[in-house]
Formats: sequence, structure tokens, C-alpha cells
Amino acid sequence: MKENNNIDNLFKDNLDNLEMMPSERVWNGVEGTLFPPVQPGPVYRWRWALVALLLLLFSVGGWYLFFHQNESSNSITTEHLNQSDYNVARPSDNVTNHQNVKENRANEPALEQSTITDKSGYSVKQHHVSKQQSLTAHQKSLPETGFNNNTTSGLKQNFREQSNAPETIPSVSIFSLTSLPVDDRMQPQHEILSVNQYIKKRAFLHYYTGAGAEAGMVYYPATQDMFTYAADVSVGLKAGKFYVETGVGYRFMQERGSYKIDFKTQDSVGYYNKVTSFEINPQDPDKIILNYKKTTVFDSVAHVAYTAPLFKYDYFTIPLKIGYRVFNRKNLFVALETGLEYSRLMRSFIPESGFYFEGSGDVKIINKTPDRVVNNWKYLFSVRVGIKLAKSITLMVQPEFSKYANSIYKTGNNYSNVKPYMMNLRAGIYYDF
Amino acid sequence: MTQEQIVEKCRAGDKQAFALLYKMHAPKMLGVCIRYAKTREEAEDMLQEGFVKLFQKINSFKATGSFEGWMRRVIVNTAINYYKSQMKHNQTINVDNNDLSFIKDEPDDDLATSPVPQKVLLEMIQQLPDGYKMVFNLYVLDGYMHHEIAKILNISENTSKSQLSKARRMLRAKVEAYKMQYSYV
Repeated sequence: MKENNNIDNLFKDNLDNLEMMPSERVWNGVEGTLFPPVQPGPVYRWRWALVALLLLLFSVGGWYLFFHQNESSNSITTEHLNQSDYNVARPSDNVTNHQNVKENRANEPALEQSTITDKSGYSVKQHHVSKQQSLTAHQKSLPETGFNNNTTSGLKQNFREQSNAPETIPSVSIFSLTSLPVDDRMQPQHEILSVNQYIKKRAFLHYYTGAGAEAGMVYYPATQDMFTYAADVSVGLKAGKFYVETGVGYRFMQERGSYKIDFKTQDSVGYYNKVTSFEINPQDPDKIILNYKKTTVFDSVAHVAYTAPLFKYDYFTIPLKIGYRVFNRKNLFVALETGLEYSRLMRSFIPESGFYFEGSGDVKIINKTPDRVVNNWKYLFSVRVGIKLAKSITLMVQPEFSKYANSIYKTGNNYSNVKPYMMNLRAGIYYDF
Repeated sequence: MTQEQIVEKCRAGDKQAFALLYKMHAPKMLGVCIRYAKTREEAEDMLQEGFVKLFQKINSFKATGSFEGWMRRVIVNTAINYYKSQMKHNQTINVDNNDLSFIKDEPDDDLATSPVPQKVLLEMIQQLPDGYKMVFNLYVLDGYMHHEIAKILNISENTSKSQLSKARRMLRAKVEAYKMQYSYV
């Protein structure tokens, strides 16, 4: 027995007061089980208030911009006149912001004015300049009509032919453009558009629609990260650099489930020497010889197994986004976008555990994957890049980050605070009305 | 604050008191769990489960006994239950295969004083077959009697004695091998 005491004492003396520092996860697990955090209720009201505020801003802003913009929609500048739309500039039109017309009458000397019509069809008012003033000086004070020198020279030539005042150096101011030949009209300084095109381009509000698809990853805090994908159609309103957008979509999500299986099998737990027979010792009749056989003892032993099949979930979604274009060029724009997305669980696919063990009995299968809530919200943040493919068609590409606002699982269990986040890449085609 | 005061506050559901209790005793209890586990992660799982049960059952503690002793029993029971639930089919002990006849049962006066490191001794216990490890831990280190061990592990008393004997022989062989390898004088 001494050797037994020695080995016992060796281990007892060295391991009886063994101490090791546990990692933080141990206390986190204990705390999470014993003192689960309380779901904050009032936050729900704040979220609804935020949604209501966004809708109100959208409605009021849209009403103001739409009605306010209509009042001035007829203002056009001659910067965008098309040579073929000669009826844009009429003498009776309220031509404003005319970059090329300068009223310079204060600098003009007092002139005797009369209206003449030359053989080219111009209606002109003649200004007589005193001979003390040079033509060049007078020409400097003329309105800048954009006429080329040839035309002016032609006018002057015509006038001289008709004038009976050789002492005067006439010049002209053109007031009527009703029958100007194409060459002599004001040269447009900017992009040439028709009136309808111009009004459309300068209109502050634009509606658009589009369709898109996205793919990405769902990051679960407690289980394996999984692939997700979605498709959607949307409609939006653009107001200057801002836009708001909504629509409907459908999302497919997956999750690695967890089944715990308790089962029993008949296992060996030891042995004993079973007496199979006995006989009288022939050499000593007073004694009996026992014959033994080593026999294994079986007993029911409990086991635990785990399986993790793939659970699938389908969601119907309604996003509400607001964006601002931080970079805007003719065929490219970049916008920052944020918003909320409502999602509703439409379908769940929960497979069987897939457990099989030959010889197992008293099997109890527990689905440890919690049930998901039906209605939920997500916060959205993305950077949208728009590439114009054609006049009204734009390709959108946007990386998007989103996070669930509420736990995806039903409350009342250890998973009550699981709010996965997603990283997706979305692409879509949009059409401007 | 004394331990009694901390325990009273824990009975009242005071989270801070329980955090303090955990801080005071968790390292030692992990030292208990590590002897029953194969890995540190497994030991920490046992410890987590043990402290949860401790808090849930704290009202059943009678102030007449030692709180640390009571806590140790809760932790050991949790470790054993954990072992039972995690026990795999292919790790069931088949005592017939463990031929330990080559080990001589000679007294070794130096055994108790050999400077074998604590970590090595712990590893030797962890490497024992599950049944041997359980019986050795319960009998030698945690002070249970064979009839108590038989009840806990659902085995016979003779099996408990047999497994303890085999555990000792196996550990003695490991210690001898370690001493020969490192030649301590």
C-alpha cells in the first residue's frame, strides 16, 4: 500500500490547490445566462418617429419643390437656344439673363432715331452719329449682339447707299430679330437643346425607376457566416442632388442550424469472473475447484451528438432610402446613401436533423436553433456609383452595409440579442422619366 | 466584505456580489475542472456550467458547512455530468485491453518527492483513459469513497477499485518514465 500512498501523495500535493485564470468568455457566458440584458422598449418608438419624420420631409420637400419649380419653369435663357428653334427669341418674348445683350444706351450719344428697312429684311433703327465721333468709338458702345462683322458691314454698306446724309457715320442697333437668317442669329454659347429638352433638363424634379440584384455575406455572431442574395424593383424621386427611393424586394438567407441529440447505447462498463462450473479437487476431496470465465458487463450509456444542417429563410423587403450626390458629372455620379429596410419573413425551410446511429435507443432530438421573428428592420448605408449608359439609362453599382435593428430571433432564450450584419454588392439598371 | 456577507448578497440576487464570488474562486475551480477535462476549453465549459448551477442553487447552501467545500462539490458534480453527457462511444473504456503486467509493483520511496512539474502531472492525469481519470480524481484528489464513486459513475464498487488500481499503475509508469528521461537526482 505504500506505493499507492506515494503516488497518491505526489498528485495530491501538487494538484490539490492548482489554480488557473479562466478566460473572459467564461464570465461572459455565466453573466449572459444568469443576467440576460433587458430589451429596451422605448427605442421602438424612436424608430417609428424617425420613419414618420423621413416621410414628412419627403412629402413636404417634394410638394414645395414641385409647386415652386412650376412657377419658374418658363424661364429660359438664350444660352440654350437652338438654331432651328428660331421662334424662341421674339421681340415680344420676355428674354431675361441674355448674356449677349447689354444695354448701353447711357454711353451712346444722343442720336436721331428713325426706323428703316433694308433690302435684307431687317427692321432697324438708325442711329446717327455726329461726325466728331469715330465709328470705332461708336461701335464700342453698341449692344453686343453677336453679329459677325460681315453682317454689320453689309448693313452699313446698305445704309450708305440709301442715306442722304454723307456727313454722318451711321451705325445700327438691331431691335428686331423676327426674320433673321440663320447665319446672323446669335451664336449659342453652350450645349444646343430644343425647348422641351431644355425644360426637362432644367426641371428640378425627376422620377426614375429601376431594378437590381445583390449578393453578399451575412455575418452571424454565434454561428457560421453565410451567403445571401436578393432582387428588387424600385422607384425614386430626384430633387437636385438629393434623391429618395423606395420599392419592394425579396431576399434569400441561410443559417447553419444546430440539433442536439441525446441517445443511449449498450456499452461495456467492466468485467467480472463468472463461475461457469465447479468440481471436487481430486487431490483434496474437501476442496472445490471453481472454473471462471471473464465476462464483460454491459450497461446503457448516454451519448450526445450534434448535427448542423442548413436552415433557409425567405424575406419580403421594403426599403426607404435617401441619398445625396457628392460627385456629379455628365456620365458619372457618386452618392452617399442611407435608410431603413423593413423585412418580413415569408418562408422558413427547417430540415430534419439527419441523425442516424446504429444500435441507438431512447433518442431525443432537440432543435437548438431559435425561431426567427417575422417582422424586422435594418439600417442601410451605402455608396452608390452611377454610370450613364444612354440618355435615360444609368447603371448603378453600390457596395452596401446593413445591420438588423432588432434581434432576428424571438426573445426568451439565450439568443435574444443576435443582430447580424450584412455586406452586399448591389447592381441595377435605372431609367429616368 | 466577508465571504458570508457575499454569499448572503448572492442569495438576494446581487450581480456584483456574484461577480466578486466568481473572481475569488474561479481560478481554483478551474484547477478542479482541468483535471476532469481533456482540454482547457472543455474545462472552461465545465466551469461556466458549474458557476451557473452554483448561483441557481445558492439558496440550498446551508450556512453550517464550508462554502468552498460545497462549491467544490457542485463544480465536481457538474464536471462529472459534463463528462457523462460528452462521453463518446469510441472512448468507452475496455479494461481488457489495458495490459499493465509489465509494470512492477515495487515501492518507490522517492516517488512522492520527485520534482515532476505540476503541468506534467496534470497532463499525465488528462492522458488517462476516461474511466481511470474519473475514479482517480474522485478518490485521490476530491476525497470520495468507492461506494460514492460507484453511485456517481453508475458502476460497481469493485469496478471503481479496479479502475483506481489501474490508474495508479499507469501513473506510476508515466512518472518513472519521466524521471528516467530527465534523470533527476
